[in-house]
Formats: sequence, C-alpha cells, structure tokens
Amino acid sequence: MIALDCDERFSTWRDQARTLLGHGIDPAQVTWSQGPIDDLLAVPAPLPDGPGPFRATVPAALLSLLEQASRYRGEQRWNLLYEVLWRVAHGDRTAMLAGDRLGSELHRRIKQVSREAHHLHAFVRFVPLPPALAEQLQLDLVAYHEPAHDILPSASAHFADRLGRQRWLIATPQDGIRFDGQGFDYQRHCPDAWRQWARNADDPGAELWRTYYRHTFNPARLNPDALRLHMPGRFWRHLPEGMLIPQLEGLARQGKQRDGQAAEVAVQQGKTINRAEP
Amino acid sequence: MGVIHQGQQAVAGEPKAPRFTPAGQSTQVIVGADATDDSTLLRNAESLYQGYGLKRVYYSAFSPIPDSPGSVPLAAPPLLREHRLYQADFLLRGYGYKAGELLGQEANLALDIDPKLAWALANREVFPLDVNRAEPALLARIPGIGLRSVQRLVALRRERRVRYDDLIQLRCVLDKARPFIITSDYRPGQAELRSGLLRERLREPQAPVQMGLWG
Repeated sequence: MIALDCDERFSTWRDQARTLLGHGIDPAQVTWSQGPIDDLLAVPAPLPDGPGPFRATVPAALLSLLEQASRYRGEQRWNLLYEVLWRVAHGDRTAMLAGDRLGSELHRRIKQVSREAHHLHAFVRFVPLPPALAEQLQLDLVAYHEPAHDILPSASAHFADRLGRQRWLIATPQDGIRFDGQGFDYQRHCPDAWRQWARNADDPGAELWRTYYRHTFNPARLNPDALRLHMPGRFWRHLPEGMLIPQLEGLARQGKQRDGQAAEVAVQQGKTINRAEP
Repeated sequence: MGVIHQGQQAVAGEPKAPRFTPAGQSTQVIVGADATDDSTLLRNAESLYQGYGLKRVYYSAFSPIPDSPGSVPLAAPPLLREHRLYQADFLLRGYGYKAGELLGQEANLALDIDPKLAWALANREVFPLDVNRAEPALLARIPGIGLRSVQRLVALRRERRVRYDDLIQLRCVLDKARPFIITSDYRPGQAELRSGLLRERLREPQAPVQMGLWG
C-alpha cells in the first residue's frame, strides 16, 4: 500500500499519478490521505522513482474533467480521480462518461463543484468599507463566504470582470482571495486579519435591503422547497435577509396570503395628491 | 412585434450596422387573469419563437393584490398551470415539439401529468424505442430522459451497448421512462402497454382545489 499526501493540490496529485501510472500501480494499492493511514492492515510503501516504463496517453478532455472534479471536498477525493485515470489509460473510456458507475460519480462531483461556483457568484455580498478605513487597508469591498468545495481560486475571476478597478477581498474559513485592481493575491490559508475585516464589516445598506426584501416578498407565490433548493440554508447566516426568510415563511403559512403584501403597507392610509393649480 | 420586425429588417444585409438587440428579446405573459386558454398561449409563443426569433417567453401566474378591480379573479395564483406551461415551452424551444402536437384538440394542458408524458401516452405507436438505435431527436421524446441524458447516452453507446443499469447511473426518471424504452437487457412487459392504466399509475396526486381567497 502506497500512502500519499498531495497537500490538496491538483498539480502535486497529477505528478504523483503520472509516476504511479508509469509503474503500472493498481488503484487498490494507493491511497491519498492526510496524516496516518486509516487502513490498519496497510504496510506503507514509498512512491517509486522515475517515470516508469508504461507510457499512457489519455484524451485531453479527461485532464480538464479531473481538474474540475478535484475541487470537490469529500471522501475518496483523490483516489477516485486515480481510479478514473487508471481505467481510461488502460483503454476503458467509459470510465469518464456519465453512464458508468465511476463516471457517474465523477460527473456528479463536477456538477456539485460548478453549482458551488454559482453559489459563490450568487450569495457573496460585498460590504463597502468606510472611506478612511478603505484608504488605510487599500480595500473597497470585503465579503465573507463559506463554500463547500475548493472553488475560490477558479471562480473568483468573475468578480474582477464585474467590479472593474475596485479592490476587494473574499475570506472563507479555509482560503482567501484579494484583488488590488490589477491582480489576484490568493492565500491557501486565509490570514486572520482578512477574516477579521470581512466578518466585522458593517453593511450600511443592510436595513434598506431588508426593507426592500420584506416588501417585495409575495406570500402567495412562496414555495419553501424550491427556495431551499436554490438558496441552501447554510448561506443564510451571512446574508442580510437570512433572518427574515423563516419569519416571512411563517407569516405566509399563517394565512398572510390573504393580504398579499407587508402588514406595514396594508395599514397605511393613502395620501391624496392635489392637482397642480394652473 | 412590429418594432422587433422592423428593427431586424433595418439591420439585415448591413454588416456594419450595430446589432439589433444583441442579447435577444423576451416577453412575459400573465396567466390566469382572464379566460385565455393554454392552446392560445402556446400557439402565440410558438409563432413568436418562429417568426421573431424571441429568446424566451416567461409565464407568470396572476397573483392579486388587495383592492384589485372586480374584473380579475380573486383566487390563489395557478402555480401548477404556470409550471405545465413552462414545461411545454421548453419542449417547444429545445425538443422540437410543435404546439399542435402537445395540445391536439384540447384547450388546456393536463395538470396531472407533464406534457411530454401526455404526448408519449397519446402516441404509443412510436414506442418502445431502442435506446441503442434510435435517433437522438427521438430519444429526447422519451418521458424521463432529458436533452442532457440524450447527449450522454449517445456518447456512451459509441463505446458500448447501453444497459438498463446505465440509465439508473444517468439518473433518468425511470418510473416514467420504463414503459417506453428497450435496452440491450430490458424490454417492457406486455401488461404495461395500455395508456389509460399507465396514466393512472404515473399521474401526480392533485391537491384539492383551493377556494377563492376573497370570495
């Protein structure tokens, strides 16, 4: 049994996998894990030296599939990739197709990863810093986000395209990324200072946004399952309207559908506008 | 519509002119505020897609606000009807169905089954289709198999014969697809071949009709 640690980097894994494939080592003989091996019967063996005799050719599309799937955090994260690579390199191309047992899992992971990138684009809410602080930190916008997969470096360019020369920062519990108007500074371990700035920023527009959300919420069209499907509850904590959602849902269930609009609006008297004198 | 047509005509044949609405045009239909039936809506949508190259038609169930005029229905929004219209709309745009095929002589879409299943039940002579041989355009007409699955099936059958288990791995909706497919190791039983019975088995349970809210 060969135990490897690729430090959760795709480039490291690729080099290790290339060596293993060259020496014809079966996927059952390798495990990627951090820390001690959890298989009690495994006897550790070292990674062989040199490229090895077997020259494998795989389709270029496979590499990009593997790279996308490698961003998935979960059990067997790297082992699965090697199993797919092994089967394709030995002539079984169905392993990279969604109809296969293994390929189906590969494509499921890719889908989860791209969905998580969509979540990043949809649910990151940048908070503008006050001018004095912005000058001091050289930052205009900060945000805190908790992605479920390692999508931050690959999916963050989206914001640079949209925010122009504004300087921004996204902090997560694992990694962080900062844009200074020119280039990215990606940190695999988010500096504590970044996390503090992002978590303690006070959003000046939050109350306005909550008022808007409350008033445009249509209880008659509420579909709680669809809502949770498109906006999973784990993101609510970091959204200004997060606290409002269960509250508005509860009101809708209690027959708020009769009003069709916010209570504050329903009780307001109309105001007569006088016709302008000629 | 005239404006769209004129705009398209104005830039046609002039390569240097700025493109007319580069992102495409869309429109929105409010459903259930008057007595217009699904047949009218879908045939209009179809002519908009074909004649004017519209990108999307959106359908919104009418949802009344307090103090609405008496001319509109004061009832819960017909959300299921909206859903069926969207399903039919996707079939028009992506799957190559015609509005006439989906509706036949009916004025409205069935609410208890989706329009693709309804078409398959009405056209049993086309089925069962052999997943290993049928044209991709026909595969996309099998209920429970979407455009994405069709692409994946076609990629898979280039490598080897498609088996029933592969459809499970592709996460096709096999409850719906089962009576309509043949794979290398599966063929639907004779007992399942009656449309009326199938419809009873596959229809979605309907919630009781809600009473009008201000009635």
